[in-house]
Amino acid sequence: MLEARNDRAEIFARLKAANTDRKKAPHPGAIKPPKRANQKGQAKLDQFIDAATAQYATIDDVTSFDDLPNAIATWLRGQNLPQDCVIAPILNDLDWSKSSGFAPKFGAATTADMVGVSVAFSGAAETGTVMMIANEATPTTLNFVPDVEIIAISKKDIQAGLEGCWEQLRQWKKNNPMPRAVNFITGPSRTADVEATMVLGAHGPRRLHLILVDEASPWRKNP
Amino acid sequence: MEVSSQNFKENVHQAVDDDNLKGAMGKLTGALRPNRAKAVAGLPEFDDLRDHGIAIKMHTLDHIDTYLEQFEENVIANGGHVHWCADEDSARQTILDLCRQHDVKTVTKGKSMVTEELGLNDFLDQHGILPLETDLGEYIIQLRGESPSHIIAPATHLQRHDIAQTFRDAHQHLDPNRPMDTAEALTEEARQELREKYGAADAGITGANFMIAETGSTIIVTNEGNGDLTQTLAKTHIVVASMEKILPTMDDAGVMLRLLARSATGQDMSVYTTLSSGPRRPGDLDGPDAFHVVIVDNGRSKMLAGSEREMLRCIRCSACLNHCPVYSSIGGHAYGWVYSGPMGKVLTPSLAGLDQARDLPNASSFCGKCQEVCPMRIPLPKLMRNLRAKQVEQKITPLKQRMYLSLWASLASRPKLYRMVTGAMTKTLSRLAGQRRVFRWMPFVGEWVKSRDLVAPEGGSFFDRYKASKGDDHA
Repeated sequence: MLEARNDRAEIFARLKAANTDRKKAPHPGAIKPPKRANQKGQAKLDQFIDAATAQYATIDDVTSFDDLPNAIATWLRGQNLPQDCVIAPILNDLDWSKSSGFAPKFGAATTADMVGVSVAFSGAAETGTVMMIANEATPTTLNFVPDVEIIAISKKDIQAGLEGCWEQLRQWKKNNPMPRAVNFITGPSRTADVEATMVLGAHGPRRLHLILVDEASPWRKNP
Repeated sequence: MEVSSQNFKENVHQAVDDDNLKGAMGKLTGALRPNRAKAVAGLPEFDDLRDHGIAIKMHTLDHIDTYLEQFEENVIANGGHVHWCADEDSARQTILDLCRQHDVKTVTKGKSMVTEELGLNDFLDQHGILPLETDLGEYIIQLRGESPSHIIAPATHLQRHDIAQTFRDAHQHLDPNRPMDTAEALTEEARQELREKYGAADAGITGANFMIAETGSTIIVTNEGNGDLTQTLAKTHIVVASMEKILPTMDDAGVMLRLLARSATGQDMSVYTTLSSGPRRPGDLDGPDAFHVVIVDNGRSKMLAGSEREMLRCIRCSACLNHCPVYSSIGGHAYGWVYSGPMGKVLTPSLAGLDQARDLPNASSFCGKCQEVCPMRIPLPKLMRNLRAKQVEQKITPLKQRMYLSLWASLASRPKLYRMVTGAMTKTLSRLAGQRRVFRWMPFVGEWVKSRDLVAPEGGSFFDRYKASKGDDHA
């Protein structure tokens, strides 16, 4: 087998040489969050809903995570979608038997799965974005493989802006390794590669359905 | 990728006569210019964020070795590997070795301009590894054997009927009479064709919009989701990134993401922004088993030491292309390399060599729109002027042109003589012009006059008129 060259020493010597004798610029520090990334309370929730809806996500609202099975079954029926879901193991403890005709499966998604269900780790009202982390409890494939993606997010986890999401991740990292993947998701998949015309459902989910939950998320209840 | 920027003039002649290209370019700029304007208007603090982003970049470039080292430490701590490559040969070989190490036969790819720079697809193909592009635009041009004509919309030189024909030729197992006249139908067809390919690939290769030193993460920003399917479903994830993508912290990435999406497509946030930090963890149900980051220099350290240093701030948003009157008239292919538009006019000579791209820094009207819309306020016209000066110094500029330049220089550095000559020229030209007061023929500038009117000067030279008006109310 051919031996790959290791150019590390050569590259670092060049970088250091290029920067010697330079007056080094200081780091500008944290930003003053833009106004739209600085909303609070109900205004923040309304902003999240408006921004996500503008990006073609649909929104539902429930009181507790226990309400999810019913809310999901009802929405799927209303949309004329199959009731077979692949669900993030973080939601294993919910009583999925309550909704009749519902066939839950827990784990990662495959291309045979039409509907995926997962729980957001955080979210940003600024852009109507949800933040997912890769974990045995929330496999990444759920976010990208099924045609329809359903994501539950606790209202308590909706931050004003991206900075709040980073902060929640930093808190998590205090007791856990950096997640393998962190996915910020804003609306369903799309492309404009054909004549600059926007088409939804390029390679990822054709639809994104967000369910806002009053109660704290399982991420915070049993970390 | 081979550089063919030396054929720029011929390429331009072909491009301006191509009506199909004209139609396609109109659709691109017609969408992206108003989108950006609207998104920028929606964030009143946009200019403050720009200044903040520039300060982050300047700081990072001044300490780039420290942040790259921190990045490497954190990738390793996350269970990944980092490989350093000084040039394109080294990078190609490293990627091939990684493929062999992991017994890779097929590769899916997310859109990556640095792999275009390396000519990676052809190289892997020659060594028995099948690369498959999964971004819709990249997939289309791979089927056609073309290179990208735009850094974020690679197939923007094509119209629907071109793409339909490409798919008809490539997907012969499908019904030849299927409807293919909408963007929706074409997008759906590519989706179905690629759907099973992600999981079947042995490796997924993506680029990186940013790297974060604090967490050892690479970031991709996409709208389609193909990059995420590529890196999540393949057994090995290989990231190829050029060095200047490094940022110190997650918060710094937050600033850049706000600037990037608005400047590129006019979105507030792209649909998918993903941080990748290593292989799957124990207990994980999905994700790649191995994670490699190939960091490519290929000319960047030379730029860091030279007068094109400011160009390393570029975040590859494409705003300069979308707003450039030259790019929107000739499209991306005329530029002859991976990077086109104003950014290409600086990057191609800087990375591929000044002698490889003689015409590029000169093909500008210097309208300055590129610098105006650049989120990193890169002084592109100034950088192009620097490159022109270098070309003259290194005698890359043609002899005839250099002779005119030195003639003009000796005139311009003698004010009295200059005024005398320009004054005499104005009078002579004014007298020679016929009734139409327009020249259709002129020695030395015949080509220029062919498609433009050279209007005859009226009422004396600038200096004469300035002198005459002195003391008037122009103060």
